[in-house]
Amino acid sequence: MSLDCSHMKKTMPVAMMIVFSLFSQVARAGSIIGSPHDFRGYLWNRSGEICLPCHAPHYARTLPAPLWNQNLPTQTYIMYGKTHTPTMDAELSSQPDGMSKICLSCHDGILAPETYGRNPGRAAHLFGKDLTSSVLGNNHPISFVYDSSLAVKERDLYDPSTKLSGLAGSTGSITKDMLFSNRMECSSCHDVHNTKAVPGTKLLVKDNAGSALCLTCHNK
Amino acid sequence: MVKRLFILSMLMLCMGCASMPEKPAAPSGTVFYPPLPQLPRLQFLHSISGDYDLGKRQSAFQTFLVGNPRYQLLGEPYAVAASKGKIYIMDRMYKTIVTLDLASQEMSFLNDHGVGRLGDPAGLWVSEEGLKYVADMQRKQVVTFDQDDNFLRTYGGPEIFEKPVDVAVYGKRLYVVDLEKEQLFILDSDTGRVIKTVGQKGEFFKPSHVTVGPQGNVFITDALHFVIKKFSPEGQFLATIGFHGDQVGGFARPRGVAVDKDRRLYVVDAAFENVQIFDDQGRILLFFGGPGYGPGDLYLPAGIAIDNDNTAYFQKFANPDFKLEYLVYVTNMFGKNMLNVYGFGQWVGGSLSGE
Repeated sequence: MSLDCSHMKKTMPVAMMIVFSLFSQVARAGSIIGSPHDFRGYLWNRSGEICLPCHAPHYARTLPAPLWNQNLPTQTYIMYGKTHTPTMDAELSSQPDGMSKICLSCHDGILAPETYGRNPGRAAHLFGKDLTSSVLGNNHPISFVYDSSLAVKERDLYDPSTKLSGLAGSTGSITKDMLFSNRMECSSCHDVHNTKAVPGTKLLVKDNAGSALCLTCHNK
Repeated sequence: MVKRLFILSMLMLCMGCASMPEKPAAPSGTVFYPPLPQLPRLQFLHSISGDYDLGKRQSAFQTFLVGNPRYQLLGEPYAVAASKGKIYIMDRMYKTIVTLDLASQEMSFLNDHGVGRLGDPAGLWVSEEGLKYVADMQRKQVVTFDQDDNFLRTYGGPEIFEKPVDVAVYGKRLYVVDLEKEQLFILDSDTGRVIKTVGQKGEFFKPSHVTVGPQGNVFITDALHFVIKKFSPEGQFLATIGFHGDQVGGFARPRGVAVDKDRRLYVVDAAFENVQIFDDQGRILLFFGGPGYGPGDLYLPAGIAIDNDNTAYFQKFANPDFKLEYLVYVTNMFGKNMLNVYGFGQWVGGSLSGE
């Protein structure tokens, strides 16, 4: 036992260094491992799971129904509200949808740095109808439809269906590579899983040196 | 202040051209939780997004004088509290307390200035007398104001707090959670001294909200442990409520907490966009809200408060067969309905087939 311990003491720092360098190498290569969303280093994360903090586990346990509501059709909650109807979506297209909600549920300015600034999608008059509203300041709108007709309307936007995204290793269009059901979301520019993010940036899908990321869509 | 006025004026300018925010069409009928024919415990009553929703209307003469109505809107409500006749919102867009006066139907902004100037306010607690306690992340202090919004004093500072995000008060004790230090601080409200610090390294991960129950027990949202932790008034650990998971009774993004007079615990979850109610044994009783745009639905909710004093103002929204006991307020950080008002009460409409 004592032999094991001394052996451990000697090998631990080396092992840690190897593990550490492995992580940093992998992080550079592009992975959630070692990225700002890798929470394994924290004491609380005893299981060492990377995915769990954002993706709540789906247990198949049989739990007692709520005492005041025994007639439940399901025992599982819907995550990030993917329930709204398409007609509602059309009306409220300026609201962040499920995809960006998963970001905003932590990035609220208190728990994690706020990424969306003040009041981006609160009401149509602040958002959606006039995407260039000065009220938005430095904060880019999200969850709006960016398609060919918007490009025609706004003039200084490229047509996303034909303009190439220019993302590393891709020959796809903006629509294909950066939009989600034609909508711009947090993930249009930020790669939360860090699989393709540019090192040293805020998990950006493309280096914004010379405003390259901005100029992907904006024809200025 | 200039920036705030600018935002305000921009907002009012926009209000002028857009008039009131249009509401999505409401499905007919009353929203009960659980729905009829089960015995309903809560009813969704009303959404408040500005003074218009308090009942404020501009007269024809005023319109003649100043033009189209200019109503004020909330910005980004985070925390909520109440005292007799008033609801208080910590608004993260205005970065100050917005008071909704239920009697006068006016909405007003706390004019913090000088030594009372707020930096980056988050959590809010208001005593029965209307004393306001604000957890300020930038000042690293709890800043207090009296009933008339005059600055009173501060608690803590950089030598004690790193990122105080919420505060609750019981008797002569302040309970403050620090998101960065990952600790609960118990302070004496007279001396301002720290009586006790709770939380060894690794015990909490990002504690984000705190409240106290009717007997002074303390409840903390341990946000990235995905549970609620219960402590005695002295800070002794008592119980853990909930678990990490998407099943009923679990949490994915637990946020604001509140306790009613019968020791039921209410917990907001920003991922499920609902509120779960637990009894004092930690058993789940009910959940309400849920994602969507309809009446009673929640949209990235954050704060919650229970109000025993103001049911009279909302009785008109209640079903005639539903007698209100107290109100539950939940803030939405997005969506058109900024503050949802629910009523907890008794069904007095006779027997139901679901019983």
